[in-house]
Amino acid sequence: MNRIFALRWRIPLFRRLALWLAKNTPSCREMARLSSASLERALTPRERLLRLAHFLACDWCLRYARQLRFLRTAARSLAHRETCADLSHSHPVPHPLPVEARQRLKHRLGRESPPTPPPA
Amino acid sequence: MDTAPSPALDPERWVDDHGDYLFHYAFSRLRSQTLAEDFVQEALLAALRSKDRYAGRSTERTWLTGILRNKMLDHFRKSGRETSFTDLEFLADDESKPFENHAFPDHWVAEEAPSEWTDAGSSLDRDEFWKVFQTCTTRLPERIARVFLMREVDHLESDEICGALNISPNNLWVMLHRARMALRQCLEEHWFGKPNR
Repeated sequence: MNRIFALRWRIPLFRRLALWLAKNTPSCREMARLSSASLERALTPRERLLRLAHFLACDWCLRYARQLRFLRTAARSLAHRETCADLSHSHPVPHPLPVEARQRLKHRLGRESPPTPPPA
Repeated sequence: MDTAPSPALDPERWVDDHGDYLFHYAFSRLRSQTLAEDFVQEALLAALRSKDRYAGRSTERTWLTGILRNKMLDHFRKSGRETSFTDLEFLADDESKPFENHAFPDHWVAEEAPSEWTDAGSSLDRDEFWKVFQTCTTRLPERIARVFLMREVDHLESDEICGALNISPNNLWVMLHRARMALRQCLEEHWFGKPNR
């Protein structure tokens, strides 16, 4: 697929079309903003069309958009990974609770903890 | 329907089982050990007080994290009156640099343009990748990192974040855009760009 796509730089007519698209669609800087915005809200039909046209001419922006989606997937699987990490501490978190803080916490909670009420 | 047997609610065990996780959660969003410890303590105390309401519908960790998150959101809500733009200024240079193409203004400069990430999906299974990912989020300015983590890791909706941090949706989008851009670049440099991998 990528190889077919790359042909547009070899065939003069396509090459001119791609250059024309690159010049007449919003800039890459604008595209980067739009790619991020597309993760926050639905793009308008106009924005979608401009984006598609820009992607036809610009592999870099297409890649950028894909990589942002990957970042989202990664961040969400990080949440899953951290909350579901097993309790045997085989996956230590980068900032574990310092030993003294652990002591302080237990002490504080011990004072607060009321005697277990009888079952109702 | 029978009432589910109430799970043993033992605060000392909470500290053992979830202490590291909760502390890491708070620390990565607050960047202060003292504050993080205070919040974990406050959350556990609140959990202790409301433990009768824990229905066992979610896991204990999810329940405790929810309490901790709400405590932190309250804190941001109270303390975040001022809208500081220093973080955005800090990242403004990073935003312009990749697009300083003189021949073709505002288009990618070849050296800064995104390169192909091979096998990105399988990176997610590797511990080393997550180390790099964590380092990269730590490098973001505090507020930017916080916004990114709230949005992408905690999965909060935009208006929830805007309400808690007292920022406009536009401001939030700019911050997320900068965060994603910097994070993408950092991952490319320190993970995907590695030569012999």
